[in-house]
Amino acid sequence: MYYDVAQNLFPGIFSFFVQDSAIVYARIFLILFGFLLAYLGYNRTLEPLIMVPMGIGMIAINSGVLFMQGGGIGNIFLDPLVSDPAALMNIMQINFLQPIYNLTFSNGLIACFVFFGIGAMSEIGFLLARPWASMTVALFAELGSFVTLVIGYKLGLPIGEAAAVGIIGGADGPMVLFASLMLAPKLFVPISIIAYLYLSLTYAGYPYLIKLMVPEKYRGLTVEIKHVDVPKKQKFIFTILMCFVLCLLLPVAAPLIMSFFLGVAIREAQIEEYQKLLESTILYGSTLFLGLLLGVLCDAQTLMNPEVGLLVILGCLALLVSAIGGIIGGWVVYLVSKNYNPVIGIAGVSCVPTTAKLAQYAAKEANPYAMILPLALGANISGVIVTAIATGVFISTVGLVK
Amino acid sequence: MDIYTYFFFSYGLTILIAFSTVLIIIFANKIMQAFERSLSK
Repeated sequence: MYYDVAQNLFPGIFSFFVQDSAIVYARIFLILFGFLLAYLGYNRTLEPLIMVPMGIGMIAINSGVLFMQGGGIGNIFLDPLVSDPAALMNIMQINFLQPIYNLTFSNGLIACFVFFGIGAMSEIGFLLARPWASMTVALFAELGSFVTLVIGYKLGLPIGEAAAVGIIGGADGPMVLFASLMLAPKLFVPISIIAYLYLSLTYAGYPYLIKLMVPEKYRGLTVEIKHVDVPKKQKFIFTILMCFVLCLLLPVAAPLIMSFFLGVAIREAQIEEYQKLLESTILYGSTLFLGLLLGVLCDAQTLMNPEVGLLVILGCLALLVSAIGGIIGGWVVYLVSKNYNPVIGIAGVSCVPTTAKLAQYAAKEANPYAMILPLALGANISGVIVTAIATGVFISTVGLVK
Repeated sequence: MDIYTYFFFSYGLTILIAFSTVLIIIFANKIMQAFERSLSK
């Protein structure tokens, strides 16, 4: 009797003794890993906006396990695999994160919210300063997506799943969410988790890659930045025009493209009330729930999917090849124009503004007077656009592979 | 289409769309500058 009382009183602890040993080890590992991520977010080694809520979510989901009615083991956070509408309606009234997961995460809405905010923070003038150079670098930095698509397919993944994991190479979290939803709904959860986890972890490795591929003499190159004074009205019209062209060419990626350019248009139209709303409340609110949901999705049972190991390797490969491609792109633009710093290439990997800041930091370390941030931000914004294009191309044409 | 052909096809299409966007931006810029000049005369 005391055993039953203790089991009901402390199900989180007792569940360790009744679950399969592989799941128990995975739970313990994920709890410790959650601590590590939250700590690395706290001391700013990794991105705190995602890592602190994600780490805490991982700890909570793997420790807050209880015995459900009917003898099963579960939690009251969310169930990502429920698909029956009647069961979903019942679960939504119990699991506190289920409504947010189903109504914002699994339909890509949260990715669009993040894109509203990123758009509102993006200065399109940086792209207009050197449009050819920015776009060239961004195209090189997309190499990882295409290479990983081929490798994933050759390793036995279905073409949709290979394309979804390849998009991790675009290094654009919301776009990965969107692509995996469209191309590999079954692997949506692990691909999203791996993308965000590896995005943060890989950024920690990018500075070493920059040092490896660009000698100090070139890292410190100063770049003459031609100031392009584009009037707000012109930038606003460009924004709408780009939105129109890209939506017309890539209707499958239109929700994300529209979200991004709406943010940019609100910034250029100087609608301050909306800009503040998007830049602060919407962006940070969405990022908080995104991080928390990603952490909560790191349930041991979900991650025990045997395909996850392969996805981890492919995700990492995609980001590495994209970074190498970006720096090669930086070199190509430098060799053609001379007035460029090859380090800017890393900013073609499109996580706004992290990789642009990495580029500026690497340049400043080599030469305290080097200022490449405006061009790096231009490459960053081009990276977002190119990743949206690649996602649209994959979604529309991946069925051609036989 | 085999996977290697698709690699070149999809990358090529991405490059084409991206550079078309840049071209549109540049042409739109020229047209707008000409329009602004004609308005100010």
